[in-house]
Amino acid sequence: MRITRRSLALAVLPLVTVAPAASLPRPAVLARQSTPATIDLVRLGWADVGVPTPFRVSTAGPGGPVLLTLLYDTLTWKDEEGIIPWLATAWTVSADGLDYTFDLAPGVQWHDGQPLTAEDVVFSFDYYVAHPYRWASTAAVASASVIAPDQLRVRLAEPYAPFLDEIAGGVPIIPRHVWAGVADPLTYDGPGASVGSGPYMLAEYQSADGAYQLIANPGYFRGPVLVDEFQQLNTPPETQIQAVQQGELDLAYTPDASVAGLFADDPRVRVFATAPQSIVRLAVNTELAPLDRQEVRQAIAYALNRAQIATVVTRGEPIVGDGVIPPESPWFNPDVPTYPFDPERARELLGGETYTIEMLAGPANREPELMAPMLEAVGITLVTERVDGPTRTQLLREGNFQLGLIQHIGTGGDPDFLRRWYAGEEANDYAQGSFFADPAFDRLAREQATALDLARRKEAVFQMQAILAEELPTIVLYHRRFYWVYDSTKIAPMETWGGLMNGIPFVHNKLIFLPR
Amino acid sequence: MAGNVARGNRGAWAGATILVLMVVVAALAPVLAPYDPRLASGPPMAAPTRLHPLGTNDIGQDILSQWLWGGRASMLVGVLVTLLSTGLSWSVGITAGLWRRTAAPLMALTDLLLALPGIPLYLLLVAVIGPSQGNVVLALGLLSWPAFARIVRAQVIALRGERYLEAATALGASPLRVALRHLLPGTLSLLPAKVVLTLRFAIFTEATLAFLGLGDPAANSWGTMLSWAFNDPLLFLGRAWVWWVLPPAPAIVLVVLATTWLAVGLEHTPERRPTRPRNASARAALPQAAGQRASLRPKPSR
Amino acid sequence: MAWLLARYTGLANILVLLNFALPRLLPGDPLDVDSAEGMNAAVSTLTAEARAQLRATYHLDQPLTGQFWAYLQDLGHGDLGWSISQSAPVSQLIGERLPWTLALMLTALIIAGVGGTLLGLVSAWRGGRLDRLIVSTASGLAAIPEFLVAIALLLSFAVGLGWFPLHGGRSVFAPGPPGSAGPLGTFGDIAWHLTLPALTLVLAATASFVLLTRGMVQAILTAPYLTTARAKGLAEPAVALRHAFPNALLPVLTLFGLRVGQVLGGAIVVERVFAVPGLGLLAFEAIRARDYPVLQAIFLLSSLGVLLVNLAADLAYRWLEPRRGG
Repeated sequence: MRITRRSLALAVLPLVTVAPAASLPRPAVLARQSTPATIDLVRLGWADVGVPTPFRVSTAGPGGPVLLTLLYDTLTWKDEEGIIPWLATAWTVSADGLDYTFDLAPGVQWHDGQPLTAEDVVFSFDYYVAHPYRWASTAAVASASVIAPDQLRVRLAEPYAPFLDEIAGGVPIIPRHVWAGVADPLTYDGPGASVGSGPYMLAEYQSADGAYQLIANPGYFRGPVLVDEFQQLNTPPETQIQAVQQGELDLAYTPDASVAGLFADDPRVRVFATAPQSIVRLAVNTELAPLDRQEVRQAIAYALNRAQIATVVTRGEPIVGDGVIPPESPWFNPDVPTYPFDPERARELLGGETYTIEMLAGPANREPELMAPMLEAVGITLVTERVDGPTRTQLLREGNFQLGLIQHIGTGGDPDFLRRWYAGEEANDYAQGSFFADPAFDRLAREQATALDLARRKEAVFQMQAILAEELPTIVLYHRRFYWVYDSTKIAPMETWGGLMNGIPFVHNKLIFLPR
Repeated sequence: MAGNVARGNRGAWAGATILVLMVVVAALAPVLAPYDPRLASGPPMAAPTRLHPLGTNDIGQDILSQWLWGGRASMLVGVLVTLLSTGLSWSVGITAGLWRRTAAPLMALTDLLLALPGIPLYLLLVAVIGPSQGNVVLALGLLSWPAFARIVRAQVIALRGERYLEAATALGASPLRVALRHLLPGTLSLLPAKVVLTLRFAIFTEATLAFLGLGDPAANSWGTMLSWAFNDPLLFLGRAWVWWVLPPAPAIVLVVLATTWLAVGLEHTPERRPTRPRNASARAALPQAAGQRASLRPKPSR
Repeated sequence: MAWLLARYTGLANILVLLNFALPRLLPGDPLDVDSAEGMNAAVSTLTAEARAQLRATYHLDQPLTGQFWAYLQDLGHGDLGWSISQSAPVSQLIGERLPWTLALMLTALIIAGVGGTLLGLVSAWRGGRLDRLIVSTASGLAAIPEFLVAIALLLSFAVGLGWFPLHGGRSVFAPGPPGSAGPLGTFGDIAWHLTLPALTLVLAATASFVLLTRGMVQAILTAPYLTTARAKGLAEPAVALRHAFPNALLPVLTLFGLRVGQVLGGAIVVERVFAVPGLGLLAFEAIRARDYPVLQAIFLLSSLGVLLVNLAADLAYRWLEPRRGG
């Protein structure tokens, strides 16, 4: 146990006294470029996401990789409209779709001053083979090789359509001079562990408080960073919005749509609603009766008044749809079959039979109580079992369930996730509990993954959505938005095409910290 | 002193009345509740109206119905845990006190359970066995008996040296008979304290577990009502908390207060003098004598 | 004496075993924690090979006896293991968080203990209306669950009036280089943050001390030797201080000891509501994350702490009252 001045002071704390923090001076001590257009400090309210290296950052929630996007760069990036060059200024794809040649931007430096070259990029891909990056699998990459100090080639095992978005835009490029000698990145704590090339450098990580202090990278290759300091603080969700209101935070989110009304007249605090990239759905175990019958699954979809459930839980406009991919996504198929609320039709489909079905749900879900009477009305008795996250993951993985109520983000990004859910090849967390063997779907899934022509890919994805809506191996309850409450004098949030990285509805894309 | 006694009696009467009232209301919940508490019977977050006298919660369930049924669940948990815990405390305490050979292992078990950290242990147990109400009762009951077992045992040891017990045993009374007829009444003075503390502990812990997200959401107790309310991050930015948080919170406080008054009142009441103690053993077993010694023991928090 | 030490050593051994076993009863394992609760649960990829690799790295694939043996060996070296969810050594995590919990709990306990005992003494000695006021306030406070007190304080003073910060143990990135605020400034900042949590604990804990002391003193007030002292003509306060108080102290000290032993697990609610980075919050998160090493370590430390306090209390009893056996 380290004995620091702080811990001694705490241990002998005899009395509690009141000392307003306003009495502490606020000098700008760190030497950095400040132009008149810069903002001093932006504070995000989130959670502790672990040690900020690509290998130790927490996998419970998206906050970790999003924080890493500020410290590290990727070959490509995304703005509101689509994929844009980033570390790679240009790229070419071979005719067979297997070779990608990237030209790197000149003058990129690591936070410790060393230059970033093609060696680092190739090293990153090689290193990720032995030490996978949890947020973007590089399994599709066969090899990477240096052509010139500012040019490299990546060779894929087979054509992989999501490569530019998910892999080139997902894996952080790490410095070779730091990680080449590190055998165990899961425990590495040495110098350079958080050195990247991104717009921000890690100044401090307070692990007990779960707080991060990032300062602007003065030599960032994309231009001057407009916010001097960025802090991510560990705040309990109950007080996050109040904290923005009272000026203790500058950016926080809530899933509750009614927050827009609360700040309607506020001159300073505004609300930014993202595209609906968070989904609430039922994982269906199609291998167990009675859910192995399509009629029963469709009956459930008809029996539930999903618009009402969505309105009550989100307190906003309901966003429902059965193709899994949400509206406002670039891949959304507006013509999939839908199941409007129709209890009559549900009873018809069930043919007068009654059933008892068990559903797994988390401790904080409100939907089961709304669903139970709706299903009761058509003859299905819903028994809800409340379990916490890890228990539910285990039960889903083992197939030990009938229905599982799950909610997660990531539906707005590259649609290859649909293939991964049902392919059975890659174990992906939300593939747990995905039981669906449909040859047409599998064929289309493989087709879209290897399709090099965008139109053909889109066609395949559209058809996949139609099959999902028809067969219902998962029943979508509704889609929801994130509502970001922010101080408009300090931040201008932006929507990212398809969500940050692979469908993460965060609004502090690093582009907002750079001149546009 | 007489003034204290009279006041004690007033407290006891007030406590008893409130408790009886709440138990009756809880028992009659199925009759009194205007709606099924699980049914979304009205618009969400509605202020109190004639149809919903206490308003509705975030998904439109009637708060009055929830409050009535919730009281039933909370108090049931409290009573069951108290019964289980008291039974165990007394059994272990008397056994360890009377039969010396059992004392060492039983006291070791007691120490072991007392050493494990309270709330984290409950959290762990509930996470392991699942958050159903029955499991919560089991967990709370099985882990809250150790503290008082020591006290009961100490009392038993203090009483066991009495002559009348030797006399009874010499006359051929079996140890079990000795325990039940002679020792048990001597330990009864400890009962009010134990009941109050355990009831308070049970209701509090059930509510705290619910607040921390480990309660049984299907159980609909006062604790779960509060936990749903506090789950809503925008609760205090509006006015909904007035009709959502205010009913269950003071109810919990009131039940515990009433029990405390009752117990304190019972402790202050002068012991009814037996018209004629049938034998020396009954006289020696007067709760007053034992109570004096008992109150010198430190009160645990469970 | 030897028997006493043997007994405590035996208990300690059982506790080591128990604390190893208990967390592993939890369903699911640490690698299942990829899914966070709530709508922002994100998809991280974990291929079957990667999963097997991680299980091997964290020794999750070994049989329980193998894991237990490895645990014992590490414990012998003072190595408390590696936290899977926090990706850091457990001893570091505990070292960072322990001071917060200790500061919070000990401060509150001392204030509650001293203040409560004094109030109880005054209440029993004076009697009358003051007595009734103190008892009713104490009983009233004891009837409010801790989390309600915490939320009420948070809402009125931090949210409503804005006098105290909304969360945290301190202003994490105080402007200026570390230490520039000076020890007094740091102390003041921490005190400002911990005021409401400590106040919650004080309000919750004082009542038992008040009522206990009052009960003790009342019982002693009727004792014969005190009447003799009065008959000797000694003044009232002197009588109280010289005769009543020391005898009342013993059970109070026992209660204090009991509470100190419970320090490590007792602040979980307060830490949760006010987001103070202490051990209680760590335990809470570790249960959610199925982080066995962290849970083992916290439970072990906590139970050994209680055992130590009990041992000290038993030794103290033996020294103070040799006839008070059993």
